Amino acid sequence: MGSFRLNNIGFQTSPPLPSNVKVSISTVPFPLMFDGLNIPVLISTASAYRSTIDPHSIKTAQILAHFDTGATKTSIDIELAKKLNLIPIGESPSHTAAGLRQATDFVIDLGFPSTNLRPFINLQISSCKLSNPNVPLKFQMLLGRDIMSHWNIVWDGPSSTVIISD
Amino acid sequence: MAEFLSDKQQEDLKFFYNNLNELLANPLYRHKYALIHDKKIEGVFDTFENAITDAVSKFQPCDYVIQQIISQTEVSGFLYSAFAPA
Repeated sequence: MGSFRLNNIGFQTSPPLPSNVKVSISTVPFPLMFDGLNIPVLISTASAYRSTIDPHSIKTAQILAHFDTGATKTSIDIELAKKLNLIPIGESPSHTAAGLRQATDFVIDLGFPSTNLRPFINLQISSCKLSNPNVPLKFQMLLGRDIMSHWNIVWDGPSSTVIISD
Repeated sequence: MAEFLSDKQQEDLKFFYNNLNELLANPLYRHKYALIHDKKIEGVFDTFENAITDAVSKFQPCDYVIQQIISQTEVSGFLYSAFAPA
């Protein structure tokens, strides 16, 4: 069983504080409230292709993925898919805030660095346009319910703590 | 978005959509994954993993498409407030 824990508590001073200083520490909901949950993921060429394509065209990237409980399927930024030379596998229709559209599907391996969460091998994903110079985003992937359905996720809003286990 | 698909893949996709109603009419095929190559259905698989494994053993990348046999009303959806219209 693997797990991932995110919390936002840390306190350190250097040099140490004088003895007459009072310190108050509290947990706050704001990081999760404002940013949602973004976790580092490792995307790479799908294992299914590795023996059949030029090894030099195999690419790997570590990015942030945003938890999107409104997404049925995990989706990658189309510009990132281009940079990683991901191989298109077909297309699927998606209902988005901008309406119904056809999105190119890809297949990837998806890992979770610095955790022992089980990676997803030969995962079929959709694509979307996340790169926008007017609305810069920290993340380049939306994690959908297809992945979340494999996890037990504990979301502690008041302390901005999330624990994921599989 | 179809710009990322090869000409061959776009033809295979067109073939798939032209035959989708016929595929949906077969209850054994609903929600399964069709492997299409050269405008022919090479196989229908229970899982995407099985479909891609078969495809890779037989064909070059970008020489086929794998489509789930679902009606256009059974779409995958996602709503994200910062999504930029294409």
